[in-house]
Amino acid sequence: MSDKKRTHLDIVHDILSAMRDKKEPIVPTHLLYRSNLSHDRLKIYLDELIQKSFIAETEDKAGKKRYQLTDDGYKFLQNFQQLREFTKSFGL
Amino acid sequence: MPVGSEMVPIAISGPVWFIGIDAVLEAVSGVIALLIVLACFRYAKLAKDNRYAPLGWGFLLLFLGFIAQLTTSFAIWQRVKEGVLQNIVEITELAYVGHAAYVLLTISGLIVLALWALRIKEHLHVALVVALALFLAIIGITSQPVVLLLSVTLLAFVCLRFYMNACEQNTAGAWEVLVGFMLILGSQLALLLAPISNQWYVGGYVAHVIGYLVLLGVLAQVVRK
Repeated sequence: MSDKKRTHLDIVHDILSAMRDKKEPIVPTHLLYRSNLSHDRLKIYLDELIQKSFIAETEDKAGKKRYQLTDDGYKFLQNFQQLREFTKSFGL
Repeated sequence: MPVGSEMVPIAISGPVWFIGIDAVLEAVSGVIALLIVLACFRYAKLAKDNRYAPLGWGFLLLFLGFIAQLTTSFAIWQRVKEGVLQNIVEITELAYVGHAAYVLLTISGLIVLALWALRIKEHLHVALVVALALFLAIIGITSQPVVLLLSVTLLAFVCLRFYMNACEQNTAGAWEVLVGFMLILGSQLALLLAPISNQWYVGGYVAHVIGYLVLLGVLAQVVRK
């Protein structure tokens, strides 16, 4: 998973896939490992995904932040292949 | 829009056997343009990303241009059926208004696509391009070669963007989009030559619809994913 070749859409897909695969709210450390991003870049992506309602931020009993996929996030993942093909074909 | 005489911009040209077929070909292109608009807005909604907007708005304006043209052609055809001599003033007015709407909507659509292709975001630069292109489009309402040359220029920049994208992505879809737009560009060049021969007129319309069919093929590939 080379970051150099990944597009913005690919990175979003990787983050959301990590959350879907985990099947329970995920901690940022695990996301860092799965998304292969720096802490700062991951933070930017998470903020964007929260703002787009693709993920929701929660806190566990210990007060640690956790993230989980929303319905919009699932829809994005389901249609990702179409989105990527359309985006690449038209250079969007 | 047919290449017209100096008096009435949409006077019939091209071979007689092609009358009506050109309208059907335009309708097919219009439907495909609408499908591209729907795809853009669907993917914009799914990705919650406005990167799809310029393509969507550009094709929406092109689609409205097709609608203006087809509505005008249908209205004129009905008046002609009632009798050309009784309705000559109405037919001329309809032709002029319909042609003006078609030119302004189509050129506006191409302006949106060209601004996107050139990645122009600076407001003053956008204003300059829009003002110049619309000024030429207004002249083009009474001079078909002007509007065709303007279309060719704007489409050339769009094709350049798609060429760069195809080189970068090197996917079948990206090359097919380039081919589709090159055919649409070629169709405008062919229509420019229509006064020389009817064959250019027919060729222009055929190239135009084939270009749109190629884009439909790309959409079909996307949906199958």
